[in-house]
Amino acid sequence: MLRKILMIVLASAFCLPGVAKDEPAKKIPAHAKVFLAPMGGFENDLKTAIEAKKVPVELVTERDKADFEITGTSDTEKAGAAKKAILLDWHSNEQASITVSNIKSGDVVFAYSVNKRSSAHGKRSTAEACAKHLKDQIEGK
Amino acid sequence: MSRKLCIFAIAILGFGSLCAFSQTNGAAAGNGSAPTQDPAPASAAPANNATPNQPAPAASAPANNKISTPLNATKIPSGSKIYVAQMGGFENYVTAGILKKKVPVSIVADRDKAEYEIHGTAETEKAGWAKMLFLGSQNTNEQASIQVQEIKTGNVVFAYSVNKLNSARGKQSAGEAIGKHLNEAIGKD
Repeated sequence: MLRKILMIVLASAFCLPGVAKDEPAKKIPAHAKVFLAPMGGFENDLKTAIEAKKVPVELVTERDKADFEITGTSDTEKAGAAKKAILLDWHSNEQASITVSNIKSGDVVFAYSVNKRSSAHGKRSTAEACAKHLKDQIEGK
Repeated sequence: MSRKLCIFAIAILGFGSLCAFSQTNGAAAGNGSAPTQDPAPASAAPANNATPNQPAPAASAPANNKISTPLNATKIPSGSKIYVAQMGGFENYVTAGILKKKVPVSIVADRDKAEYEIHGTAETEKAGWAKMLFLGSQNTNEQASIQVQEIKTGNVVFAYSVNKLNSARGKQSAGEAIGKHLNEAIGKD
């Protein structure tokens, strides 16, 4: 009986670290240093949104000092004459996508894409959606 | 004259059949020099004779290997490291789609650390005034195509193309469709 218990304890001691090993690598820890890569101007909106949504990360301006990097893209489709005349809609359609990768390991730990039709606040809306979901991921919601 | 021709033809046929018989016997003896000829007799005589069927599996084994080797190679194993190459911004949507659909792979940002690479193209067609006027729709038409390539061998192991008319979420929809179908392709026997 004791032998069996000992074997189980030994097996779990060897197995558990292996299971737990992958989990932290796939998460963004709170207060991690994050670098925002150039995204054609969208990085400024994203920076503002991260601050507005109080995402628990520390934004750095130098990539070498960062633990994580956010890359992404953003598209804006302004309302054309037809949309304004026919649909009476002046708002733009926005879509954006971001990817957060661990600089050291190279693993992509988070990615999110958003599409907002007739976005009320343009790029600001998509940036805030990205920031909100990034916050949720960090806080484990 | 015709009788002579007939005899000549029978003689040729008899000689040909003798040659064929000797070849099949040689292959059954264990040389396996002509494995492509073996499945034919095996399929022609299903289970009546024990002796002709005996060599058939052994001789058809190399033929099966020939077929199964590429099939095994084309499987993307679960937990593989995949690099998503630049696709003019669409790579971010593909990455997001893969993560959203919980595809059992690990995406890496560094190509050197990856085993597979995804590359492809995407196109967006915006709604024109006619579409807005007649259909009352401002949704875009999206089309995208990707290929998953094994970096070491260069083999294309998966390919998928998607075309979404009146895409509700634009590129996001196309990216998620790719993620969904990649998920179905991984880990299947």
